[in-house]
Amino acid sequence: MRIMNLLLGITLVFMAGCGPKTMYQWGSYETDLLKYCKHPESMPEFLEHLDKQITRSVERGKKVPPGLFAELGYIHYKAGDPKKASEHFTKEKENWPESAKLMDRMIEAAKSKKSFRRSEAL
Amino acid sequence: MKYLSLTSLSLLLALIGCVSQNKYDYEAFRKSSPQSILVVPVVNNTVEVLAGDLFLCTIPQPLAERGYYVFPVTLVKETLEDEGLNDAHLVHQADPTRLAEIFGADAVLYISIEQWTAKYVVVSTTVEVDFKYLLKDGKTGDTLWTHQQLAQYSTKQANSGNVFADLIAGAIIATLEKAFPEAKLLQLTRQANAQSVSALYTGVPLGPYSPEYGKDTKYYLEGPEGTE
Repeated sequence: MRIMNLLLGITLVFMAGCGPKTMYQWGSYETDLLKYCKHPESMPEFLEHLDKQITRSVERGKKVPPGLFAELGYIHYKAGDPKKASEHFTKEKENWPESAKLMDRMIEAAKSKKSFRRSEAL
Repeated sequence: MKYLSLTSLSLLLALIGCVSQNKYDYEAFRKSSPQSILVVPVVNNTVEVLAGDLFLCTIPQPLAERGYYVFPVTLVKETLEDEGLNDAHLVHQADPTRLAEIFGADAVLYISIEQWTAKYVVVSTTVEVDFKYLLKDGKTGDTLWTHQQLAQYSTKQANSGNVFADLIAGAIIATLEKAFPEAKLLQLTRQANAQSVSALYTGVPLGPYSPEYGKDTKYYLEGPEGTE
């Protein structure tokens, strides 16, 4: 029995070792992103969920995963709120220095309230 | 004795599931040591129009969890469209160093979907996805990593001993899966991504944001296959 339990234990450890270990909390990000991809009219819902997910991460002292601040900023940008857009682009840049070039470009676009094809359609 | 052989089988399956003996040459990857990955729109070689966009939504998480900064996929896609690259084929043909330069990325990940199918035959279901991954250096355009991953699902023949019960159970499962094929396709996509990115010997080495960064070098060796 002991040998069997030991072997089972090793198996579980092996399988656990091969399973995913998450560094970040993603919540329903992927599901929301999928829905938004298929149904762009679900943008308000995506915005709300993304906002909640970010707030939750921050409250728990967890780092917000790559891209979330930027995606939220981009939605605000398309929805015609350049101030909030700029705030989120700045947060993405602060959290992820690799995003600096792209975020600087987006902050500039938001500040100059450059017209954007998609926001014109909304 | 029955339990011992079951345990041994589980252990063996766990090993097969997680370890591949094919080794790639990671010299270029080590030299490049990318910190950020730009995932560009996906080339879709299937008849399912939405497959590319759906796939794009599933890739940020496994790459970020591997320890890399991943550029926001929606923003990237629409920025490229603004640059006149409004078709994934055009993006894949473009110079990777130009793409990397636009975003400030260390590496560019190209994916193509070769298979995205769900087949229903009487009471059995077969779902299959097949993806090609190609990672290129943002400064030189050199290939850093390449992989192809297939993931399949088939319904098992139920065997309760009652033929009619088995047929009914099979029919119910097949009906549900036919009504919601996307759920299964996405599940397989996540599985394929996880297997591709995280596999020992053939996956993407841990990135700089991983707490274990640098500790996996023995699994991703430089030089020809089988040598150190």
